[in-house]
Amino acid sequence: MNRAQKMAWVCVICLSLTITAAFPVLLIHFLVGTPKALYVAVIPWLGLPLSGLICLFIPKDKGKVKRDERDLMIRKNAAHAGFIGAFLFTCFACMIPFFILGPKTVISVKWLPQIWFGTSIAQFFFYSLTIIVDYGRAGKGEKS
Amino acid sequence: MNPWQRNAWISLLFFAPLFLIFGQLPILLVYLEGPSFLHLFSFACSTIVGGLLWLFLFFFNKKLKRTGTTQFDERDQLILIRATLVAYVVLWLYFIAACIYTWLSAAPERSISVNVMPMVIVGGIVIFLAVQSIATLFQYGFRRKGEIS
Repeated sequence: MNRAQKMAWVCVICLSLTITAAFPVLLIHFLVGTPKALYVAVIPWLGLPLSGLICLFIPKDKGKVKRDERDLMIRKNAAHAGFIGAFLFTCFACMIPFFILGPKTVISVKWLPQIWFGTSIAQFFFYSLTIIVDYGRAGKGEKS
Repeated sequence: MNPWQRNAWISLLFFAPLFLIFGQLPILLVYLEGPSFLHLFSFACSTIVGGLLWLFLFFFNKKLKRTGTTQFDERDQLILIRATLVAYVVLWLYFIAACIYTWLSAAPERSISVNVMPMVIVGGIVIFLAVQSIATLFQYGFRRKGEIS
């Protein structure tokens, strides 16, 4: 397993926990409706900087050739998948309030950075997931 | 001028302004007539297709490669990838400006109309198309270098 795969696994695990943690917080916010729930909502987003911090400690690949054409192709595919995931998330995050709540309603500006953080998470999640899928779950001789 | 330069000019001069007009139309219709499935469907289709239009070039290229009649070589692919990357960076900056700047500049208890949110998406797609086209034209250069149409 090379460094990119290890980083992808770290991102997928941390961001899956983040997504899982976000649902109870949102549920509390909608059920209880306390303004404090919005401050609690910051906690799930810590998964993104946490995954970045863990990735810093993953050792670099040994050997003269760090990446070949296959690695570059996989990263390009992953970047495309990350873009598509982030774009679809943003589309749905912006469309759902408009079509469900109705065009005459207003929403708090506090939701805007939440949408932006959600888009970042979608980008990294799909990027990492595509790297794992493209390399394959079982090792094929990649060396770290 | 090769087909990809021509596509970039068409996208810059026609698709981006057309999408700006027709992307806002369902929002206006929903505002005037109320939400309906048809409006939702047309808006979702137009935004998703408009935002992911650049992917068709890659699929198109793969299909042509199988038949052996491709006019889309490695240089063209590299230009397209770089143009998409530049457009994506600009889209991110635009999105940060739209979300974070609004949040920082407005007081936390302030609210915005939900009409603004689909407009942000439409604006983002138009900016993406325009920047991608400009970056493509800029990389090919404004003078001919032997490209054959």
